Amino acid sequence: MRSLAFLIKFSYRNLWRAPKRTIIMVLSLSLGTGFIIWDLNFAYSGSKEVMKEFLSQYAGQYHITHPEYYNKESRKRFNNYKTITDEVIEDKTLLEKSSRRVTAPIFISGEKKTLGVLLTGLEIEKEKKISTLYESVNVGRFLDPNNRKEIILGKKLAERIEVKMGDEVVVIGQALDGSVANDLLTVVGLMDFGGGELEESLAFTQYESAQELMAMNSDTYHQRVNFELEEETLPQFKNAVATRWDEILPEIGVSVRFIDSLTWMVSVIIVLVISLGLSNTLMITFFEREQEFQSLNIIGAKTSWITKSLMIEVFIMGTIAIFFGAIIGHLATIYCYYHPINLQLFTGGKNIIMGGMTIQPLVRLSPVMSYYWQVPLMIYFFLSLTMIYPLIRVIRRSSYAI
Amino acid sequence: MLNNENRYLFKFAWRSIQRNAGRSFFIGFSVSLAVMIAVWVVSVFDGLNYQIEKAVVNTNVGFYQVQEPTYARSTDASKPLPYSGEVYETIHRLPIKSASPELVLDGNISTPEGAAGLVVLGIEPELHKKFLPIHRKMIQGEFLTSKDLNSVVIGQELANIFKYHVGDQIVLNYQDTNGELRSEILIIKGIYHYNSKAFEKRYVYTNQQTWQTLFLNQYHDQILYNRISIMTDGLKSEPMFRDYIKKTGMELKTWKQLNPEMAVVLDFHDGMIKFFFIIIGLTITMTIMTPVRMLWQERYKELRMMSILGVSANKFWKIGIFEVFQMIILSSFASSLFLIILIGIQSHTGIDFRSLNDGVAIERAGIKLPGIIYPILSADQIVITFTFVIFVLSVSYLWSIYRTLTRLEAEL
Repeated sequence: MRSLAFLIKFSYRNLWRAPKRTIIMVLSLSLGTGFIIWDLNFAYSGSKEVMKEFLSQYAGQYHITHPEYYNKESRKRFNNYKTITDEVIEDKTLLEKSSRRVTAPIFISGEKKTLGVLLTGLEIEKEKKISTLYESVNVGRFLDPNNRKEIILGKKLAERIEVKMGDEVVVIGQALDGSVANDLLTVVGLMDFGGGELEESLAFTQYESAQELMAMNSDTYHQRVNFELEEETLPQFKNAVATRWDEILPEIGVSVRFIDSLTWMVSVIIVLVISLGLSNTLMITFFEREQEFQSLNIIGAKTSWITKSLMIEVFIMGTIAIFFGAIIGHLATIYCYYHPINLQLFTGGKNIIMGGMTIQPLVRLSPVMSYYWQVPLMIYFFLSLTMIYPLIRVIRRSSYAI
Repeated sequence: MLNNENRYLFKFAWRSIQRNAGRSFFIGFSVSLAVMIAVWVVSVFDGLNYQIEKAVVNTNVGFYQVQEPTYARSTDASKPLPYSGEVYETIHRLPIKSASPELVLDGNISTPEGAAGLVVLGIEPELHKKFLPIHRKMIQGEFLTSKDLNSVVIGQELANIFKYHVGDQIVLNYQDTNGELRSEILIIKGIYHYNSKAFEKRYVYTNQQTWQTLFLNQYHDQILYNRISIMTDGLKSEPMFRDYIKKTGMELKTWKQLNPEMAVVLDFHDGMIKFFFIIIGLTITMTIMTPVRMLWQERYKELRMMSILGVSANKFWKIGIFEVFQMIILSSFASSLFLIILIGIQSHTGIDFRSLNDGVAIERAGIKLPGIIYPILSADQIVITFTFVIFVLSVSYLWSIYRTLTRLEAEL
């Protein structure tokens, strides 16, 4: 135990023999560590904020539907004849947190054009509480819960079928009883999704109007959309199924995973670059002390003892650097919590369009605790690799000396 | 060319590098590797962006579209213009690969299998063949000719959903130029398998004669267009296109305006890459600075001795600058070599990113996102590589030389 204490003391003192050099090495490793922690927190918070803003507009965290509503192979396809009622949801607390929707693939006719769109019947009051869809209406107003037979369209769709506020449009589809569903709805608002494709493929009406159009019973609907997912696991039902957003919109999930993977890749590259530089510096430092190692050999210090002292030296330096790095990374993260980063920085001021909708996220960084041990582990790993070559050279040269 | 003195100093610098061959190698290798990794990431993103761009322009969008003003405003197809010799001349004076005049009709089909909105494109088959290779992607039947009457070519996805085969009839519902609801029968001449499922489900092709008869209620015996889709080498000539088309009274739209979602994805990638480059640049400069500094400090005694013998600071600077120059050449050569080998191999084999979605191909904003990315090494990247190496090594060396010479000056 005493010999270990001596070894640590010896190694620690060696570090301060060339304080400037040590400080620069510690600083470069600290800044690298700090940046990686900040960067990972940024990537995680960025993905979370982007998804939060995107999902809170329209898609929601998960949909409760009939088990056969979504096509198993492609969630983009759905069977509109498969409906559910509140009876299938055993946990009644879920009813409070979610909103019912009726979906109707229809054709919408203006004066000169007929286009296929997905008309969604919304529970207006509920949607206003739990989603931000109503904020996308930039011309006219959102649907009035006390009225019926109103419709809001995407701006692009309205342009294409050449309708404006107050105009009536014809909607035609197939009702659930097999009859031809048709109705006349009044345009009360236009939605702006920044030119995304949803602007020309979505339309919204009151929940009851959609039910009436589709000849549905008043207690049946297609989706119950939940905007909160408190636990990682989805609720289970006997006669219904919950489908997460990333299954419904896999392209968005993949985009987010791609950026996350890229961030990890960048982190590894940064550590690799720092490690190479460190390896270089360590090698020079070790060779500079060659005569000292030979003297130690002569007075009885074994090569293994010298090797251990060098390893401890690097370990102490690494630990100091990681400690300060974690503090730097954490402080930078906290700073960016109070001063959020606008993602438009990366797009030259343009809005981000995701899944056909515009999002303007300000990323408020929050620390993710797991990164505070994962990053140090990664750095210790690379630091160990860094030492291998210089140590081999030292051992070889020491053996010649003896 | 160098004079005798400079030639001697150049040789001296080279000998100094060789004196510590291992250390010099390590410094050069660190820089080369960092630069190589950084440029590799850029080339992967360039490859990804190129594939995304290609996928978008191949969804019948083209790099540019010259649109008739009414169509440009509202996609109202009722005022098509003739694709006259004059228009042809105008378009072909620009640096283009191919151009396809197209008429665009929004229609729908309704069957017991369901309903779907379609975009019926009226094309001139021979011109369209030069624009997109759909005629080579027929899995059933044949592509259109300009003589066909009431024939359409549909996508595989539409055929699968509605159980269509070649020879079957499609009842197309649409509003004609007068706004009247019409239902017309068309015969399926061929089924193509091309681009994404969304594309295959949405786009139906017919020739100009059929389209004009359907929508305009008569054939005008000439090629008309709502838009002219243009294939080029990219968007580099956009200002020139814009100036030129402005004079014609038509509207010019780029693929970025027509598919803003994917355009922003590309901008986002570019922003990320710039950020990444800055970080790597700072990291490698900081990391290299210490060993380079130590390298020069080690030579302090030697420099002192030379100084006493009468060698001026000016000459030390020259030696240092020659060393940087030689290190830059070596590192640039090494990183370029690594890059050419690595990217050369990967540009053929590709990098598989399908694992991110359990091997399933992803479609976004109407296009199929590439699962396998083929990195692209361009001349720009080689220039970036050199700039990066010059920056990193120059900063590290010049700073170290400056510090060492300042110390020398103070002591003498």
